[in-house]
Amino acid sequence: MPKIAVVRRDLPPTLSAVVRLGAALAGIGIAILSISVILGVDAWTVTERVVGTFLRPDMIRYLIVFLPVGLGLAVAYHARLWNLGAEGQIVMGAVAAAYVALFTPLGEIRVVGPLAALLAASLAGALWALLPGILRAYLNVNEAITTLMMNYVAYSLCNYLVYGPWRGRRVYGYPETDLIPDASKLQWVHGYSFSPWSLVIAIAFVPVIYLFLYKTRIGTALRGYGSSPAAVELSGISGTRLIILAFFVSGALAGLVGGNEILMYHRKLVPGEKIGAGMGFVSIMVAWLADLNPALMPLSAYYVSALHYLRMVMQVGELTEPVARFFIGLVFMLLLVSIFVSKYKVVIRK
Amino acid sequence: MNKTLMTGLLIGLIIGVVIGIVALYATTKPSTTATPTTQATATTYKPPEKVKAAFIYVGPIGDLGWSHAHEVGRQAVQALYSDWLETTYKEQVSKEGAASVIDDLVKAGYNVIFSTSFDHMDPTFEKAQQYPNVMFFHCSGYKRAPNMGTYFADLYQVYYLNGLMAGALTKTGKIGYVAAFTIPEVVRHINAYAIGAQEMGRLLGKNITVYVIEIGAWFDPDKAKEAARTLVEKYDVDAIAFTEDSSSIVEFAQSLYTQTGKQVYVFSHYSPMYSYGPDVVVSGQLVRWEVIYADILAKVKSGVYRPDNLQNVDYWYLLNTGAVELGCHIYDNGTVMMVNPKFQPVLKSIKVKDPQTGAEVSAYDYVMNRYQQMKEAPLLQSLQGTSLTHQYESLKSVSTNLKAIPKVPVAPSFDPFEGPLKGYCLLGGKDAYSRFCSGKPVNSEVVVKDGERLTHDDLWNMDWFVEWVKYMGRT
Repeated sequence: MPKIAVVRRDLPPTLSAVVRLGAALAGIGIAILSISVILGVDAWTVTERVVGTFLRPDMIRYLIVFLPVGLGLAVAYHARLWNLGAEGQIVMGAVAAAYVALFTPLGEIRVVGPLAALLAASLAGALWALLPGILRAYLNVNEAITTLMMNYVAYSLCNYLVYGPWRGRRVYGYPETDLIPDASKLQWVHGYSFSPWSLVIAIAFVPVIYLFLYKTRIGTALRGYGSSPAAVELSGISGTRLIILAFFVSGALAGLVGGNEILMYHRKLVPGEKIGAGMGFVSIMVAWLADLNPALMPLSAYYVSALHYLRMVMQVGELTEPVARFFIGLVFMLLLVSIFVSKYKVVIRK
Repeated sequence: MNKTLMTGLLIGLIIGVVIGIVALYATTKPSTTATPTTQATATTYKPPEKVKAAFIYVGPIGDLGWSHAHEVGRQAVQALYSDWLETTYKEQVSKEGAASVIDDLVKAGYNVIFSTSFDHMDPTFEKAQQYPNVMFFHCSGYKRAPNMGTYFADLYQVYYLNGLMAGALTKTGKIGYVAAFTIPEVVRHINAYAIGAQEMGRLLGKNITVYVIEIGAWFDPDKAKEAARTLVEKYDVDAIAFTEDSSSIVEFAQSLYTQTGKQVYVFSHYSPMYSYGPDVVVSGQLVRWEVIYADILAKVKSGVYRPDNLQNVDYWYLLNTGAVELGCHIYDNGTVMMVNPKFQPVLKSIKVKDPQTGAEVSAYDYVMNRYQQMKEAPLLQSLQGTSLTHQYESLKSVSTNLKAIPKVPVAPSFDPFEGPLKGYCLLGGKDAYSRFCSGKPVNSEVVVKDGERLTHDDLWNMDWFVEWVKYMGRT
C-alpha cells in the first residue's frame, strides 16, 4: 500500500515570493473563470472590474489601515508571540485620538492637534497590547487568548463611552460623539477618501520596521526569540523585555491606525465594531501573506486592500454582493493552497 | 533575500510613493479650482438627458426589512421611468466603507446618489462637498447642503393604529415594545403605539401599561426574540410591536401559539410578515419608498431639483401621502391586507362608544375611522417636501374671507399627538433636545395642554415617554 506523507520543505526566499505572487495572480484568474462558468457572468465584465479596482488609487484608504497594522503584527509574530488583538488596539487608539481631538484644547490647533492625537492613539494601542504582554512575560499566560478577549473589552469600553458620557449633542440619540474640530481633521485627496499624510506615515514605517528587525541587535534577538528563546537569553538579552517590546510596538502601530481612522475617516467616535470593522483581523492575514517580511508588506497590504475594496464596489448587475464575497473567499483559499505548496510537499512512497 | 535587493526594493518603494503623491496632487489640483464654475452653470442649468441613480444600502437586500424596502422602491421607479432612468445599488455598505463606495459611483458616472442609513450621513455630507455637481439624497438624517437633500417616511400614525388594535385585543392590559434604539424616531413610535393602546383601553375599561426593552441593534434576531420572550414571560405582555429588521419576533409568537396555544398578538414591522405568523400577526406597518423616489427623480429629470438648490429639500411623508401604510401582507395583485382576516371578526365583535359621536361602533370601525381621518389631508403633502414648510404641518386649518368656505383644513382632523398628554423626560439638561425637556432634570414632567398639537420639531426631537410607558432597560 502506498504511503502518503506531507514533508516540510524550504524554498529559497526569492522562489517562495515568486510562487506566492504567481498564486496571487493565478488565484484571481481562477476565481474570475469559476464565477463566469458557475454563474454565467461575462468573464470580461468581471475582469474589467477586478483589474480596474487594482489599478485605481481608491484602495489606498484601506492600505493605510492594513500596512501599519500588518507591520506591527509581523514584529510580534517574528518572536512567535500571537497578538490577535489588533482589532481592539485599533479601537483603543481611536478612543484616545477622539479624546484628544474633542476634549483637549489641542484639538483646535492645526498640525499640532492631529500629531498629538496620533501620538496619544499609538500610546493607547501600545498600552492596550501591553496588558496581555505583561501577563505573558511574567506569568506565562497564553497571549492568543488574552489578546483575543481584549478585543471585546475594547469594543465594550468604546461603546460605553459613545452610549454614555461622550454621546454627542447633535446626533439625535445615536451612539456617537459630535464631530471633531476642523483643525484635527486630515483632509481627503479630491475624489478619494484618504489623506496623503496618512499614506506617507504608513509607508514610512516600512523601512523603519525593516531596519529595526534586520539591522538592530534587539531586532535580531526578537527574530531569534521565536525559534530559540534560550539562545537569546544566553546572549544576555532579557526575554521578558523582548516580549514587552514586541507587544508595545505592534500595539502602537495598530493604535496609530485607529487614531488615523478617527482623524481621517469617521471624524467622530462611533461604536467599536464600526471602527475596527474586522480590519484588525484581516491584518493578521496581511502579515502572513508577506511571510512577515516588512519589505514585502506593501505588496501584501496592496493586494488585500484592493480585494477588500473590490467586495464593496464589484456589485454590478449579476455580480451581487454574495457573489463578490464568494469571489474573494475563493481567491484567499487559493492563496492558502499556494502557501501550503511553497512550504510543504506531498510525498507518495510505494 | 540579499541585502542589495532589499535596499533596492526599499528605495524603489519610497521613490514610488513620492511620484504617486506628486501625481495625485497634479491630477487633483485642477478639479479643486474648478468648483466656482458651478455658479455659472446654475444659470444655464440643463437637466440630465439620462438620470443615473445609485442606491446605497446598509444591510443585505434579503427578503425583509429596511434595505429590502428601499430596493422595492428602486425597482419600482426603474420600471416606471425606464425611458430615461438607469439605476444601480450597493448593498452591505458599512459606515467605514460608505465614502469609498460613493467615490466609485461618481467615477462610474452616477449623477444622483441615495444613501439610506444614518451611518452614511457624515460620509455622504462630506462627499457632497467634494462633488458639487452630483445630487445626493440622504434618508433618515438631518444634514443638508446645496446638493444634498433629505427624506423620510414616518410610521408614527400607523403605530398609533396598531396600538388601538393592541388595546382592543389585550387581555392582561400589558403590552410590549421591542426597540432597536431609543432615538427620537423610535421614541415617537413607542409613544404613538402607547397612545393608541390607551385610547382604546380607556373606552373598554382596561388599564394599559406599555413595557419597552431596547436591544441596541437594528438587526439582531436573537436579541429581539429574547426581548420578546422576556416581555411575555416576565411582564405578562400579550401584544407586541417592535422595531427590528427581521421576522424573529413574529416567528417566536407563532411558535408559542402552535406549541402551547398561548396567543400573543404581534404587529409586523416594515415588511409584510403575515406569512411568518398567520395565527399571531394582527396588522403592522408597511412602507412605500417608491412614492418618494418617484417624486425626487421626476423633479431631477425636469430640472426642478438641481445640484445647487437642495438645501431645503426635506421629505417628511406620513399616512396621507401613501408612503406608509397600515397592513401586514401584500397580495399578489398588489393590494394590502390591512388586518389579518383571522382577527377581523374579533375586532368587529368588540363594541366601543365613540366619544366624538356617542354612537356605538366596533373596534374595527373605530380603527378604520381614525385611519380615514389621518389619510385625508389634501393640503398637507405640499408642505411635507421642504424644511421651510414643516412648521405649518400641525395647523388644523386656515381661514378665508369667503362665506361659502370659511375654513380650509391643513393637518389631518385627527393626530395622536394632541393634548392632553402627560409624560416624563428620558434625557435632561444639555443632553435633551425637545422644548419640554432641555434644561430640566431627567424624569421631569412633560405636559401637553388640552387641544395642543405637537409640531414637526416636537415630533422630530421627541425625548420623552408618555406616562404609561415603562422602560425596562437595554439588553
